[in-house]
Amino acid sequence: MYTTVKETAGAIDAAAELAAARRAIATEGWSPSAIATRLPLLVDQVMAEAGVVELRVAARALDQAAGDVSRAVSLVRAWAACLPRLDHCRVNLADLAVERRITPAMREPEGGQYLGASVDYAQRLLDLADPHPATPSVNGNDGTRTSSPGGSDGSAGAVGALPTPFTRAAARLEAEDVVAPPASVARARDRTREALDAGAGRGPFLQALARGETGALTAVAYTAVRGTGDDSPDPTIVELRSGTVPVRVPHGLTGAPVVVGEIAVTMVELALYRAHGDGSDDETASVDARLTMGVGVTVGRLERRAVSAALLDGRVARAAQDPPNTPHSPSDDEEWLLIALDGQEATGFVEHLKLPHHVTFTSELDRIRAVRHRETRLGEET
Amino acid sequence: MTGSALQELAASYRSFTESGYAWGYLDEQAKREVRRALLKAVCLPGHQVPFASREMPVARGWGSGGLQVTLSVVDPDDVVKVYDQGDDESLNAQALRDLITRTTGVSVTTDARQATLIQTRHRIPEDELADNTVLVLQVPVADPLRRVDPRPSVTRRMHADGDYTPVWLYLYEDHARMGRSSFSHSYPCEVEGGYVMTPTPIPRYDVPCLDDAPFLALFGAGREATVYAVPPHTRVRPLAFDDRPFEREQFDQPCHRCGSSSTYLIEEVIDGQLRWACSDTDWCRRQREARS
Repeated sequence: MYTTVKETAGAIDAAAELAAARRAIATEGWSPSAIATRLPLLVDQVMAEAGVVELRVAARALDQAAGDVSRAVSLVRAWAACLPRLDHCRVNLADLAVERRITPAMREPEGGQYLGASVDYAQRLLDLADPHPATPSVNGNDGTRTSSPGGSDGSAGAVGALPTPFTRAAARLEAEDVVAPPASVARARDRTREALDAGAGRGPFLQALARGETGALTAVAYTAVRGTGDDSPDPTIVELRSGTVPVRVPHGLTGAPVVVGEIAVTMVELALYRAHGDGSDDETASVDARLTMGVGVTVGRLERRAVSAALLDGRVARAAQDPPNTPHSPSDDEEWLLIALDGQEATGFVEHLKLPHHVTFTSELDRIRAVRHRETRLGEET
Repeated sequence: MTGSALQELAASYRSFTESGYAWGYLDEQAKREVRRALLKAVCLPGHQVPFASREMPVARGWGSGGLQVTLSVVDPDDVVKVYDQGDDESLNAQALRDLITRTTGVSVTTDARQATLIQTRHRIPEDELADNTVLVLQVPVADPLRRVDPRPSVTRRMHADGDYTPVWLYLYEDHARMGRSSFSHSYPCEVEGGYVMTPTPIPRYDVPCLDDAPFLALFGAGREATVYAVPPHTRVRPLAFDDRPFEREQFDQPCHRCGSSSTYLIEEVIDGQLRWACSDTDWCRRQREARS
């Protein structure tokens, strides 16, 4: 009977205490630092979706939220929203200290491929022997920052940053002109500090992709790979690289750039193949026989985030080449994606249905009853 | 249930509990499920047969369908080859091979001529395969009509009606707009004058290898929970207009490693130079060894 419970009864605190007590039993011995060590990818997910890189805060939020990622993201975003924005800076992805670099589109790319720390090819066999092995097992997920050498299968691994500066694998495709230029060059604008709608540019769109909810990003990107009606372009990852990138700001006095920290990022460049045509009914319409590139970047090591973001960026760029009024699927529609991908907007509004709604519900019943009553009266008259 | 059947069940349960997993990983019920679907698939060449796809120790889309087919048909005497994009050393191939051998103990080879069971992703070996070979192909998208309609409920009806007009129309639009077909890999093929199927993402280069082939080709799509088959000596014809012939990939130069000009080549960058090399690494290696 929550509708009759008033704040004076202490119900909010009592319910929260009950939830906390349950959690205390389940997570005895856990601390935020243990979460950050044990569950680095979960912490990555919170930081990426929150759009805030602060390991300890994200781990603490996960702990406080009892492992509910959405609530943890909410805690971090609300905390960060009260912090002043002191400065903006550009990180240069050419500065990326690469720890992993793969090129699915090419067997032998310039600079080579480095598997790095990955469980991509480790079999998914549940290890029931020891829930907390001292050292990561073959199938265990070692996703920590200071990654152990090599991939989980021991091949082509790397400790820390790789020495070679890599040319982008896509550069050769661009030089050959088999790749269409991006629909618009991204200009950074911050949608957390500016009211921006769809069409505000590729910069804020890429920001939305980078902060998108992991499950939503994956689900929508999946529909784009699986094929959903229109003539879906075929995606191929040209390059995935991950590592750490230094963040530089100008020194307050001297103005010289100073490294204030580094963040772990994963970036993906992906090519979309579609040569059938532009989707119009005009069967003689000319075809731009080029690949479309998509770019996706995420904070942390949850690679499906970057893959999904790159795919959706490419889809939107590809759709932008089509004539007006060409029917598209949701995964091509910037406006639709901006609605669907933000986890906080989605979970908040879905869960708000738990709030009391008897006032609006009464209003709806009034209309239903009025119409039914009128139908009954009409029925009696005939 | 009869006593012997119970004993059989108990025995399989014991072997399961002792090693952790059954011989060939899958439990007997799962294998029977896949084998029944495969038998139906062989009887109806090119027809997509649904089956209850199990969760496998590899992710969906990473060969879970091919793996279920392989583990359902593998025999203790089989010699198995697993390769990916033509490469036996590819990580995915190694991981799948490891799972197959660890749970069955079968012997492995990289030589397609020695293999009796070949699981492959996106290639058909360059070698002439013997007539006792079973080729298992990993399939990401099983339905050739996906491009023209994404709804299985609709395309299933189109297959049943033999209504392939939309694919022909698609092909016609391609020629009208570009002067050629836009189908890259996964080129739609008519099987024995009946069903149209997608020959997995094998390149167009490999498609003629399926026509009147001596081997049995089994296609497994785990995520899409579908198997289909091309039995030996079955007609497989890529869809094409009489005056617009089917085109295979063209290569201007031979393999820079073995000199072959009759194989499927891929690009690689060696010392900053763009080169072309055989995608089938074991075939290429044997050519070079035979020469030296």
